[in-house]
Order: sequence, then structure tokens, then C-alpha cells
Amino acid sequence: MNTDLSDDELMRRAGNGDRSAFGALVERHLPRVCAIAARMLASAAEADDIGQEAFLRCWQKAPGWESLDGGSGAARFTTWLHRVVINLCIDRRRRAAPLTLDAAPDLPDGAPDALDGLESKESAERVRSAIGELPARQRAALVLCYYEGLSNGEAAAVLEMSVSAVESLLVRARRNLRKSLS
Amino acid sequence: MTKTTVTPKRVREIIAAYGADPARWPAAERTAALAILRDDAELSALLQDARRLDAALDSFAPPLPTVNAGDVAGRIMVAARQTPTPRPNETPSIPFWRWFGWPKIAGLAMAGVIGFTIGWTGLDAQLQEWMAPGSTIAAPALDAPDALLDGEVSW
Repeated sequence: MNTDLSDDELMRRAGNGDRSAFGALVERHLPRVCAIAARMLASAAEADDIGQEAFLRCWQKAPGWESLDGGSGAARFTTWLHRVVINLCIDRRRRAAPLTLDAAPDLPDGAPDALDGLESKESAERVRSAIGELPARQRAALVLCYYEGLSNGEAAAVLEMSVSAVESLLVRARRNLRKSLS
Repeated sequence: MTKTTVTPKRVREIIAAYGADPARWPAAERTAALAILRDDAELSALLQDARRLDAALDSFAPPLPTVNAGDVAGRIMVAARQTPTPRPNETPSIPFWRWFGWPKIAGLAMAGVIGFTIGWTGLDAQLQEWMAPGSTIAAPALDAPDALLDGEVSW
């Protein structure tokens, strides 16, 4: 059964033309891939495109997967896949127009702290906009660690940087969000 | 494995990076960080502040994706059939120009151009005369450039 096989084994089988193995990989990872893309791009349609593009690259990479890995297990499939997704999202955002706060609703009057008023649904748009204004790598670190629950080590592997660099990105992202939302 | 010591300064860094939920903190430092927090009012206030930002972040629910895995896999494999990927043990065919080498190709092309020009202009006949002993072909007139300017000779 494909569901019992590891990602690496499914990838190897897909590389040998096993379509059901490839389908199992897509089934297993598409939801998370689309979730990452949706938070990076704040668009369901774009997230779907990214998901398809990421798995197309997966299919193209499969024949050479074993040689990349070298049998050491060092190149984990999810690390590689998440890296592809993040890079695709960053590329797409570079080409798109930047989000503005023009359409964002005003903060509620008399709020003692701007953050206190941001739990309501109508303010989610303001949060979405603030996240969209973050520099790409800060947004990526936030999406991977805060929203997707990756450990700092896993996020560091995806972003190809040290754990301390990831933490620095997170600190700056949260600081920038606090400023934007205040 | 070396054990890192968690200090109040480190707890501050953890909260600043990961927020208020200990579930998001680095696993190896979580227990020690919580112990320090219990007795530190300043850090507790920092935690409260982080909690408010977390609540705002949690309000951002991304739009749900609409594709399903079966459709995605099917479309990719259809697209892949149209543009097949080389297998890892296949050597991609090398275009002839790369095998032959750019300098050789450029040299051949130049020779072709020169030969064509010689034949087209009838220069070969003139060259043969000039090269022949006793040739009397005159040098080009010095006023030829003026003829160009006067429009008598076109490019």
C-alpha cells in the first residue's frame, strides 16, 4: 500500500514512472503545500496554482531523486518540497503588485490598544494586509513556524539558513506586524 | 549533546520570536523557560503582550484551496506526457554545433562569406590578373570617397 511507504520511497517509485506512487505523494502533501501558499499569497486561486507548479517540479525531479539524496537521507522530501513552495511564492509576489492598506478598515475608535480590537473578523483583513507587507523571508519564517508549526530547525532547513537567522526573521516579523497593526 | 542554559534574556528572545504559546517554543528550552516565567513579573507582562499579537495572527484564516489531489496529479501527468523528462541514465543529445565547436563553425562561415563575395563581385577574375606577372591593374582613385558623397555610388 502506498500509504505505508515513506516519502523518499514514493519519490523513488514515482521516478521510475509509478503514477500511483506520485498520486500518493500529492494526496499526502497537497493540503499543506496549498496552506503554505495561501498564507504566503493570501489567495486561494494562486495557492492552487502554486500547488500544481510545486508538484509538477516534483514529478520532473523524481527520476533524479535518488542521486540528489545520495542514499544518506539528508535531502528530506518535505524540506525540499516546502523550499520549492516558498521560492515559488516569493517569485510570484515579486511579479505581483504590492498590497496596500487603502482598503483596510479603520481601527475601532477609543480602543486602548490597537491589538485588542483585532480579534474580530472584520479586522482579519487588516492582519492579512499587514502580513502581506512583510518582506518575503520574514513572511516565510512566520508562515512556516507560526502557522505551519515547523520547528526552528525544520524551518532553517527549508529556508537554507541557521536557526538563529530564522529566529531573527521571526523577531523582526512580529515587530513589524505590531507596528503595522498599531 | 550540550545542554543550553535558559536565562531570562533567552526567555525574552523566545517570546519575541515565537509568541506566547509554549507549544511553539523550541522543545529543548520549553520546560526551563516556563519555570523562569513563573517567577518573573516582567516576563509575564511580555507574555501577555505577545498573546494579543498571537490572537490577531490567529484571526487570519487563509482562503481554502479548491483543487483536490487526484485532479492535480492527473493534470501533471498529462502535462508530463506532452513534455517527457529525460531519465537520469540518458545522456541528452548534444547539438551538432556544440560538438563541432564554435571556432570551427565560425571559420567555415567566414570562408563561405568570403568565397561568395569573391564569386559574386567577379573579384576572383581581377585577383587572378593582379597576381599574374606583369599585371597593370590600377589602384583605386583617390577621389573615390568624393564620388560617394556626391551620391554617384550608393551603399
